[in-house]
Parts: sequence; structure tokens; C-alpha cells
Amino acid sequence: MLLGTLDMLVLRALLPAPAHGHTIAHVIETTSEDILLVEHGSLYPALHRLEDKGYIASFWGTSENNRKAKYYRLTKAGKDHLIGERSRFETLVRAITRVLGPAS
Amino acid sequence: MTWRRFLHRSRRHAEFRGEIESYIARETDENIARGMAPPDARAAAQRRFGNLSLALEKEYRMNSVPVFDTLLQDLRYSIRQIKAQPGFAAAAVLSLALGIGANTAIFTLTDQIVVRLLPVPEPQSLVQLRVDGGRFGSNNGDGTHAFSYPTFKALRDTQNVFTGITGQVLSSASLTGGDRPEMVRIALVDGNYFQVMGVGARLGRLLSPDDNIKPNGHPVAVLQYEFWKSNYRSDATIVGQTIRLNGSPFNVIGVTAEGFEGTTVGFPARIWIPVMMRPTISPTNPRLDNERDSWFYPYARLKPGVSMQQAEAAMRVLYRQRQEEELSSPLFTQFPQLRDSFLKQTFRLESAEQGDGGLRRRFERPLIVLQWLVAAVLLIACSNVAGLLLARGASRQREIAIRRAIGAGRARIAAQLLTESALLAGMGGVAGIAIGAWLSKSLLASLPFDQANFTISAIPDLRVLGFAFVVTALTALFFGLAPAWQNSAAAPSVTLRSEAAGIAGGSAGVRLRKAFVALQVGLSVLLLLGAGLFVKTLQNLRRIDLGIKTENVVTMGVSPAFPYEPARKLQLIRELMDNLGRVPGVAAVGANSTQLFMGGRSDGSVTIPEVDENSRPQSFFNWITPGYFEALGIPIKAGRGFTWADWGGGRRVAVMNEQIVKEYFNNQPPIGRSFGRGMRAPLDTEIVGVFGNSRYHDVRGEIPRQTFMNMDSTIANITTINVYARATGDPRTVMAALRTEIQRTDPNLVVTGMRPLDEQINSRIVNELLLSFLATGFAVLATLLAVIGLYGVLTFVVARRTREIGIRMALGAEAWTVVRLIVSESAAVILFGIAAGVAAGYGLGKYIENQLYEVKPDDTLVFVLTVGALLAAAAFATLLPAHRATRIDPAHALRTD
Repeated sequence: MLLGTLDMLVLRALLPAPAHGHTIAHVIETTSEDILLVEHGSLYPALHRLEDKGYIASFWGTSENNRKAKYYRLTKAGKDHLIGERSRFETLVRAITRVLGPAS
Repeated sequence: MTWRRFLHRSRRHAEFRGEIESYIARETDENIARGMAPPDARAAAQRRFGNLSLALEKEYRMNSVPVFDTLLQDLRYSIRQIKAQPGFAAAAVLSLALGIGANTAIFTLTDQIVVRLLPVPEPQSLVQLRVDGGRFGSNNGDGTHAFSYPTFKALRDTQNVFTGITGQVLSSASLTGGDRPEMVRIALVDGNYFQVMGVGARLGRLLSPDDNIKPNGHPVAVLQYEFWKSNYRSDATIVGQTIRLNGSPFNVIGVTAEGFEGTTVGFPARIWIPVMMRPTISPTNPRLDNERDSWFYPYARLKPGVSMQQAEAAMRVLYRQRQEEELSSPLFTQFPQLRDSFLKQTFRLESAEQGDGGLRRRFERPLIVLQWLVAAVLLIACSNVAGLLLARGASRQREIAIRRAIGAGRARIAAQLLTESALLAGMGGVAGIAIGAWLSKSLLASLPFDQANFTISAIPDLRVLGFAFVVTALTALFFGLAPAWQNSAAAPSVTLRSEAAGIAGGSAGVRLRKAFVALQVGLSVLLLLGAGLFVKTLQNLRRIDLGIKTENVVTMGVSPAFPYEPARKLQLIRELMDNLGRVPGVAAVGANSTQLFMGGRSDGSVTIPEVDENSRPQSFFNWITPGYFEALGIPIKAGRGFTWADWGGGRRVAVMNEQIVKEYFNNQPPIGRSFGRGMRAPLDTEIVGVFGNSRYHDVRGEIPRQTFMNMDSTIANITTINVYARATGDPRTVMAALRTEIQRTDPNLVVTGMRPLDEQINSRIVNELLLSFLATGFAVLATLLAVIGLYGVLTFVVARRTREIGIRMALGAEAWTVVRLIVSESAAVILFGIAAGVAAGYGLGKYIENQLYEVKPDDTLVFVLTVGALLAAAAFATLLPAHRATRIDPAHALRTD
């Protein structure tokens, strides 16, 4: 996976609704049609780092099958950060595509 | 952020564990739903999660403050190391504690006496006035700071560079009202004293200019805070009450704010009264308006923005005007030849930010010398500990190499070793503060001051603790840094493969240890030199012939609690001498008016027909009672001493010492001749005897010309007399009986400063006593440490070269070859250290020259003895290991390693 994009993907995964770590990992994998493979264990330190930065907040809740789970939700700062990151990323991708030119 | 995580990290950790658990559970559920068997489902879930310990490690690092974390780890490790080798730790901590303790002790005194400013607002703007050059009249104190009251008033009322100028004179007075009369130090001050000082009242009000208008008109007193607290138990109702000073009533109007003790460091004023009350307090000094009588010490506060130089220039003009006025006085009209030298006086301002520094002037130099000495001792202690650390580092090479092999960086290991040093230094510092408090207490107790009225404190305050902390930190760095760097160098590939890993210190380690030993030797030489010079000074002082048989003599001051009429004083003194002479164990009793050996003296012009008036003949004076020469064992060389037949008869008689007879009478005893006191004075006093030369105000210097008058001739001026009683045995055994007899003779008599005369003399040479005693102690300590250091290095060298020596001996080397081998290891170090120490010693000698008495700063004997002593000690430290080397059994040595 591209360096530095994990944060963006995590924030994007949380955009529709709060979720816990397991869901986030699966959402990223399934939406990308299993192209982007996240090591699930390393997702958690990333989540905690994002929480420290104030982009996401956490709370303990009960999951669908009545298990206690830690949920993360996107904060206002997180949304703003996501928008910024996204436009930066798109600029980058466009630039790279232009340099590569049309596929032969 | 990280800090918060760090502080809650165990909770964080539990939470993360919970998250992991919930992930695994969920994944397992899903796997089961997909149709896996439960154990497989859980294993698959764990695989899916990935590297668990990596995630935990990442999380752990996020939750820690790296520096702090390592520090805690290092500390724990250091404590284990110290516990593992308690002997080493004890040696290191003890030497550091001695070094730090000595430094703290001396600093406690230096800080209070040399460094600290007066506890008043903006002490920097306080100045003292001073005039250099003769005073042409009677004069108090050191002859430069006291002014006559009329001169002070003239300056006070015309100056415009100060926000205020005030003045004071210290005195002592009997305070009655308690269970027994007590002498207290009082200050007579100008009305604006507290305003100029900027000191406020704790209770009531302080003096103001309105309290100081007409002589004897303002019987009011202000109490000092600590005195009020201890003597009146903080009784607030004292304000408005009456106390009696020298028998006269004074109304207490207030108590000063805490901390202010007056302007003389160490000697607090206990009660302040207006200077206009001087005639009441001391009827023998009745006049405030005599301009030839200098006794008042002015202090002034510079206006903001006025520099001391500007103020001085302005005040010089005023002082010059004042001198012109004084020239019209009778003295200068009668003796016009004095005018020129009177006008040559120079007026100066001096900073008074530290108050009147009598104590500072006396002890500044010795204290600074001592501060350097103890710094050297600490440096030596540090070098020793550094040596110990290096030696220990050498034996830990294998351990360190292993730690490096498994991934510890050199900086990381050095940091850990430094932490160990810091821990040792910290323990040394704590013990040092305790030692320092004890040492400064003993030092203060040895100072010749009445401890009850002396306020230099031995209790370490925040400043002293801060000092100790800084010293400790520097110490840790100094002795820890080089060994830490050296010891952390162990390269795993070399050390672990080496057969001799146990002792492979590397030659760099030995070189460093040798450098430390050279430093120790040099400093020891320096300290020994200083000690030698001080000891010789003390010996010279001890050898001085005082002309007085001081052993078995008790001295004390005796004064009536309130002033008596002259006739009554005549009667009382005679009665007192008679009664004290009858006390069992007392052989002879006498008294004088100016105390011996306390620096005070009374001198003046004499008129002797045989001596040219223009040579301004002068003599020291004292007023004595019959029995004085017998009590002090001063021989009468011609004629006679005084007897009670001379007492109160109105006939003026005097005795002179051999010195004045030699200088003014061609060595012919002038028995029966007459002289006059003062310039062109009537020849009204008959010389009846000549007494042997003896010391008077000081134990040092030339013996001055002396004339002793019978005390009855000045009885009106006598307040305190100094009694000398010769006992037949130990003077301490008669002290209680003497005190009782004085009280029995007259209960109103106050006794002060009773002690053996030898003690009083010691108080004159207290600097030399302290310096020689402490310098010797520190020097011996330093040399001992240096010798131990040298011994340690050589023992290590022998151990390291055991195999080599064994081979040499197996090949037939003689014992002396082996000795030479070891001596060659130490000779250069020792000689270099001695040379450096001797060179520095010449510099030191110059610096302490004025603390020496009849010793040149480059005294050959001292230098030779010092170098000799050090060589002997070094030889001892060298030959022991060398001897051990010759006993190495080649067969055994070759088998080791």
C-alpha cells in the first residue's frame, strides 16, 4: 500500500458511520476489492495515533452480536483533514498519470 | 500527548488488549459462520490479525517518553550495580561526601560573611562614607568610617545626591527588668535611620526624625524582631511599656520587621534608640557637639540615577567646605602646623550593600582561601572516584561487550554508566550536606564570638542547599564523564574473543587513570604547601614573647548596671579588688580600662621636656589598678608599680615601659621625672616606675611605647573595667567563685566575657588557628586520597602485566628489574604532579601572603618538606605493588589467563 495513505483510508472508512477496528479493516479490503490488504494488527496503532491527533474519537459500545467493542468516529477535525488529504492525493495522482502518459 | 499516554500506560495497554480480544472474537465468529471448526476459526483469526508482538511493541513505543523511560531503567540497573558492590559504593560515596561536605560547610560561612547583601530593599544603593588620613582628635573604630556628629549634621543638611543620609553607633548597655541584669548590644541612630534603610515595623512604630531633636529629650526604644521574640516571648503588650537601659527608663514604641539586624553582619543590634539619648546612655561621653570627637558612622542611600562616582564628587565638595569651617577651631589656631595635613584627608564613598563589613574584612581572605582548598579536596575526591570507576569498568568489560553485542549503542551504555555516577554523587551530596552542617557548626563554635549575640548560622538554607546541589551535579559530571566514555568503548569482537577479558582495560584506560593520579598528586602538593605555610605561621605566632605570663589568668569585663558617682566607683573598685584577691585559689588581681589583645587601644600625644615637640611624641595609654603587674606577671624593671596608697590621693602617677624609656629617655629610667598628656600639656604626672615590654592590643607587630596611668586619675570616665585574676592552678576552677564574689560585692555589677586569658589571645589568632588546622586536615586527607589513587593504579598495572612479568622472570630477570618496571610506570606521573603542584604553590603563596606571619610565601623548608613527604608517600604506594610483582611465581603466572 502507498506510504501515508492508510490514515486517509481509515478516515474515509469512518465517514458514513462510527465503526470498530474489525469493521474498518474489512471495509477497506472489500471496497478495494481485496486489492488493498491491511495487516489488521497494525491498524490499531494507526487508529490510536489518529485519535491522539484528534481526527477520530473513541467510545466503548456493544456490537451487533452483543459483544463489547471499541468504536471510532470521525471528528470535525478528521473530516477537514480527510478533505485536505484527498485533494492533495488527487493532485498527486493526476500529476503522476500525466507524467506516465497514455498506456501503450 | 505522549506524556498523558505515558502516565496512563497500564490502562492504555489493558484497553488495547481488550480491542485485540474483541477483534479476534469477531473474526472467529465470522470464520465459524463460514463453516470452520471453532479451534481452526480462532487460529485463522489470529493469523488474520498478523504480528501481535509487533503491534504491541509499536503501541508501547507510542506510550513512552524515551528519555524518561531509559532513565528509569538505568536507575534501576544502577541501584542493582551498587547493591552488588557495596564496598566500592561506600568508598566512592564517602570520599564524595567528605568533599561536598567540606565545600558546603565553608560556603555556609562564605555566603553569609562574604556574599550576602543586607536584608533591606535595594541594598545596592546603600553607601558608607569614609575619610582616609588622620582625624586630629579622638576616633572610634578603624579610624576611617566614623565622623563627628557636627560634621555628620553639616553633611546631612547640605547634601543633595542621596535620598537620605543617616548614621549609627553601636554600643552595649545593661538591660534591667529581667531576673538578672543583662548586657545587650544597642545602636544609637539618627532619626531617619529606618526610613533610609527601608525597614518597616512589625509592631507599633519605628523612630522618625521627630524622635531625635534635643539631647536627652526622647527616651524611646525600638526592639529588634528576633530579640523581641526570644527575650519577650513575642509579647505584643511590650509596646508602650518601659525598659531600663543603663538605669534610665525608655519607652518601647515598636518592633522591627523580621530579619533586619542592623548594618553590622553577624553582630545584631538588639535595641535602637535615638542618638540624642547618648548622654543618658553613656554619661562619660556626654557631648554630641565636639567636632574633634569622631564616633558616628554615616550610611546613605543614593538617589535613583546618581552613580557612586557622581555622589562622591559632589560630597567631596561639601566635605571640603566642612573642613574649612573646622579649621577655625581652637586646635588649628593653636597648632597651625597641623592645618596642611588636615586638609590632605580624602573623602570617599564605599558600597554598603553588605553593611559594615568588619567580619567580612577580617574573614574574607581566609574564607576564600579555604573555599579554594576545599574545592581542591573535592577535585581529588572526584579523581579518586573516577579512578575507582575506571578500575571497575575494566572488570566489567565483558558485561559491557555483551550488552553492545546484543545491540546497545555506545551512547546508551555511557548514559547508563553516567546514571550510576549521578546516583553515587547524589548519595554523596546528601551525606555531604549532613557533614557540612556539622562541620560549619563546629567552625562557628570555634570563632571567638559570644555565640548568644552572634547570628551567623550553621543551618543550611536554600542557597546552601542549591550550592550543594550544583556542586554535586558538577561532581557527577566531572568524575563520571571520562570513565563512562572510556568504559563504554569495549568492542565486542575484541573483548569477547580476548582470553584476558577480565582485566583488559586497554592502555587508554590506564593513561586516563594516570592523568587523574597526576592531578591528585599536584593538588596534594598544593594543599600541603599551603598547610605548611599556615602551620609555620601559627608556630611563629605561638613563639612570640608576649611579656605577660598568660597561663592561669582569668579575664572578664565588669560594669555597673547603672552609672555610679566617681567617689563610689573609687570605693567599689578597691573593694572589688580586695574581695577578689581573697577568693581561695586566687594569687593576684588587677584591672585596666582598655582590654588586652582585643585590638582596642588608646593612644595620644605626650609632652616630655627631653623630646622635641615637632617629632610629635606619642604613646599608647592604659589606666590600671594596683595589683595589675602582679596579676599579669609583668616585671617591674625600675622604680615601683602602683599601690593602694596612690589610690584616690589626687597625685597623678604613671609607669612607662622599656620601649618608651629607650626611645625617649636614652634608656635612663626616668624615675621621679614628670610628663604631660597631650600636646604642650602641663607636666603634671610623675613617672614612678618602668615595666617590662609586653604586648597590648595585638599579639603581632612591634611592641608599642606604653604609658600606664593609675585608674583613679580618670575615674569619672570609667564604665567597664577589665579584671585579670591570676589563679594558683587551672583558671577555670576559680571562675564560679569569682562570679559569686562579684555579685556579693555589688549585685548591680554585670559580668561579661569571663574566660581564660589564653582563650582571649587565641581569639586574636583565630584566623591562623583555623587556617592551619583546616588546611592541615584537608591536605592530609588529600594526600591520603592521592596515595590510594596511585596505589590503585599500580596494583591494576601489576595485575595486567602479571603474565609479562612472569615471562621476564622465567627468562631470568632479577627482582630489581621488575621493581624498575613498576617504578617506571609511576615515576613520570608523580614527578609531573609534583612539578605542577610546586609551580602552582608559588602562585598560592603570593595569594595568601598577607595571611602569613614571618614566613616567606616561598619558604624553602616548607617546599622541601612537602616534596619530601609526597615522595615518601608515593614511594610507599609504588613499592608495595612492586614488591608484590617480584613475588610473582613465573610458573603460576604463565598458567593464568
